[in-house]
Formats: sequence, C-alpha cells, structure tokens
Amino acid sequence: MAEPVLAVEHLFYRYPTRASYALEDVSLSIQGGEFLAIIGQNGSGKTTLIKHFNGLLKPTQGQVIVEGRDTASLPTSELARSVGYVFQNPDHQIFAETVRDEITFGPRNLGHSPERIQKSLQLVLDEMDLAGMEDDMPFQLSRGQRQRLAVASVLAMEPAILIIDEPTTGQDWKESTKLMELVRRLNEKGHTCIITTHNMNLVSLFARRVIVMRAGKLFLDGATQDVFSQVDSLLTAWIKPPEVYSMARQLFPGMHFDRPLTPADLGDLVAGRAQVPHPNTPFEVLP
Amino acid sequence: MTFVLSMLETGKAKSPIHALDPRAKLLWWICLIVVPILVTNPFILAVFTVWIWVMARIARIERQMYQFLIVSYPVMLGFIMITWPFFYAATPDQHYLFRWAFLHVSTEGLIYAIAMGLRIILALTACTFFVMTTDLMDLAGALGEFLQNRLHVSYMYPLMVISSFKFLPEMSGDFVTITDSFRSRALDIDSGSFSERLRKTVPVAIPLIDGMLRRAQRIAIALELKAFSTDNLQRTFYVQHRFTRSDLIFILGGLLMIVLSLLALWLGWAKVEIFL
Repeated sequence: MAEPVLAVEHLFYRYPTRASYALEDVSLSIQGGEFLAIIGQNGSGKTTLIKHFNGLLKPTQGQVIVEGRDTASLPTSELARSVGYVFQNPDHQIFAETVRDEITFGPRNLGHSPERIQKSLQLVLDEMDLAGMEDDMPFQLSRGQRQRLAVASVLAMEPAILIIDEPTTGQDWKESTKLMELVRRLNEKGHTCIITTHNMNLVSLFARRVIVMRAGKLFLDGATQDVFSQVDSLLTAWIKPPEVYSMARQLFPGMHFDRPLTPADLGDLVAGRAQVPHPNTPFEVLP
Repeated sequence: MTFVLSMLETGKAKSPIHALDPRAKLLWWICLIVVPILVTNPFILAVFTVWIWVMARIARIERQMYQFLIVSYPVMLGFIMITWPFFYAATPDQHYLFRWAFLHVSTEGLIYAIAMGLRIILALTACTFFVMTTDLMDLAGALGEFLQNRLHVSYMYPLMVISSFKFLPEMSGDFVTITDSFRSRALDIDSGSFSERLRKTVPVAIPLIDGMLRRAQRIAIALELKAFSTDNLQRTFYVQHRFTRSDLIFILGGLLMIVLSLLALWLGWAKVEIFL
C-alpha cells in the first residue's frame, strides 16, 4: 500500500481550559485521492480532529503526519501548502474588495509567481463556477456563492488535501449538491477531499469512506455503504443513516453492498431490475 | 483573551462571597481603591493585601487569583522598581547606592519604589478579587434595576453593558476562528515586526467587524420582537436584588479599611515618609 498522505497515530487532545480529553487515542490513515466524510453528533470531536490536519491544533499526545511531515513542528502557514482548510462560515474568511483579491490572497502569502497566481485564479474561477465575477464584491454574493468563493480561495493555493468543514450548512439542497458536485470533481482530479457534515444524504451520495466520531473517539471507519449498514451502532452515536439503508435492511436483511446505496439502487432491487444480494456478496444491476 | 474570559467565568462560581449582592461588592471595591490613595505606608498596604488573599480563600478563588497575579505582581513591582528609583527626587542627605549623571538610586528611592509598587499591587489585588467574585452581568442587572426603579433611568444603558460582557466570549470565539481561517490561508500572523503584524491583522479585523455589525443588527431586531423599548420604565426584573445582613457586614469590612486608613493618617503612620 502506498504511503498515506495523512496519518494520525494515537492522537490525544485536551483543550487548555478543559479537564477531559476532546480526542482520545484516535488513529487513522488517509490515502491520496480519497473522498472521506467525518460524521458525528455535535461535540463528538470532528472539528477538533480536522484542525489537527493543518496544524491549527497540536496534539497533546500522539502524532499527526502530513505528507511525511510531523505537524507538531510546523506552523499552519507552512502546512497550508499541503492542506487546504475551508471553514464552515465563509464570512469568517472573506475580507477583500473583489473576488479576485480574495482568491489570490492565499497564493500571494505562499509566494507564488504572478503567472502561477493568474493561472490558478482562472482555474478555480471555472472550477467553482465563479467565472465572470472576478470584480464583484464578495460581501454582495449569495450565501452559496460565498461558500464557493471560500473553497476557491483555498483551492487557489493548490493543496493536495482539501478539508471542508460543514460545507452545506445554511444552504438549500440545490446549492448543497452543486457544491458537493464541485468537490467530487476536485476529488476526481486527484485532490484528497475530507468533509465534515451532518447531512447524511450528501455523505451517502458523495463520500466513499466514512469515519464516525463518538465522544472524542473514533467509533466507526469504513466504506460508506458498510458504515451506513450498521444502523443500530450508528444510532448509539445519535446518527440516523439515510432512510434508504434502513429500508434496504428491512427488505433485504443481511445484505452487503459494494458501493454506496442510492434510492435508485433500492428501486432497482425492489423492481427486480437488480440482483438481490446475498450476505457478504456485492450486488449488481441486471443487464 | 482566554484568560479574561476565564476570569469572568470565575465570577459565576459559588461561594459565600460570590453569593453576596454584586452592589455590595462594588462598594467594597470602591473602598479598596480609595485606600491606596490615602495610604503609602508599605506595612499597612501589605496587611490589607494579605487580608484580600484571606477573603480569596473564603471565596475559593485563591488558585485562579494566584495564576493571574503570579504574572502581574512581578511585572508591576519590577516596572516600578526599575523606573521609580531613577526619578525619585535627589537630595544631598540620601544614602546613594548608585549615582551617574542624572541617574541616581538611593535607599530612600528604593523604599519609596516598594511603597508605590505595593499601592499598585493592593489596587490590582482588589480589582482581581472583585472581578473573580462578581458576575459582571449580574452586577449590570442589579445596577439597571436600581437605576430604573430609583432614578428612572432607562434599562437601555445597563443592557449595553450586559451585552458587551455577554458577547465578549462570542467575539473572542469569532476572533479565534477568523484568525485560524487566515492562518489556513498561509497568513503568518505571529511573525514579523510590530508594524508588519499590525498590517497582517487588517484582513482579520474586517470579517470580525462585519460579523459584529451583523450580530448587533440581529440582536436589535430580536429585542424589538420581544417588546423591548428604551422608553419603558415599567419593566420588571426577574432577579430582584435586596441587601441582606451579610452584604452590610461585607460593606462594613470595606469601610473599616477606610476608617483604619484615616486613623493612620491622623496618627501620622499612613505615609511612607516615616521610613525615610
């Protein structure tokens, strides 16, 4: 197996003002090109965990290794070359007078050449569906556009790993899926994408791996379909998997899927257009 | 910022002193601020400071006070010890330890510096004790109740104070988040000269101010929706404050310090000059 782009080894973290650990003995590794969702109820440690990935938080105990480098000895401004982090609220990072200035802020901090900045500007404007808005004032954009601008301004730094904290908060389904489609496209181009979210339907549709956090500990880690199939375990972490998994479990007990289950898949199974899976065997849509 | 928030949180703890009326603690604090104005005798100042520490033990905040003052005491005392002896007026009859050009350090200057340092330390200890034993929002509420019911002043003014304290933690949280978001975009906020760091904080300030203005607007709307009016002087208060015997005893403790200081003044013991 290739060297992971991100490895967490026995990570413990305690906030300075708290007596208990916010993260306890978390270990995981992420390969390049993964599309990963970290889920869990509020206060489960999702954001605390991902803040370790770009050095915003340093481990109390344990190690976080990003592309072979220990984050403990590197400032966030240096790790930003490898790890892009998009915050939940785009208004927490927007400050410039134009979309162009906002997007080029990060690359300028990294010391990129003007030609390289211009190239990445055009690229991210196209990728984030913001082309033609270069001279617009960021504060006047819609919430969805501001969210995409926040992603664009991080993406322009060309990070290998892209972390998006709650990318769809406060957005309708149309904007949410649009943003997630853009993230999927980035993932297909080779970016390692990590998201945290409470929207299980979006996780089911887009993520290929899911990590469930519960009370500061890594509770479940596996392929999306495998994690969501563990309905009872998820309920103990106060997570309700998408209805399609609950329905599939009722209709086809003990089944196993080799890819995330969609409502269309379930429809195919019910209508007989797909092979009903046997336990521990993948299912296939019939020709 | 985190430490300030931690201090404000300590003010919400439970102890016999925390339970007192916040207005009683305000009056006590005023007394303790007057004392170092009246007295410069380092022994009297030291005794009063120790007395506040005894009160801190009763309030069970001595550990938190120690964490704050262990840094503040040396800074204050050190600053005064370094600067004051050089500027203490030079007279021929002093015992000089060091003298060069306009710089001069004498035993008398050092004693005076210690006295000045202890004045600041007493005031600082009293302020810290007051903040750590008083819920400032409760204090603002109590003052608001008094202002409206006795002086017919609108509750708007105490509300402004309450809002300031109430939203301080949120502003602090926003500041940390915004700073982190800029660090994530490779902005190295912590390095460079003072002017460079100041320049780097401009991007951080814009979303912070923008967020504050939006929040202020939301709060104003929410207040109106809940029938808040600046003209309403019939407003009632959920928590109603009444002075108890404990509050009066506590205030008398503060007044006793002033009386003792005045007595020392009358007897000629109040000033540091008796040691010079």
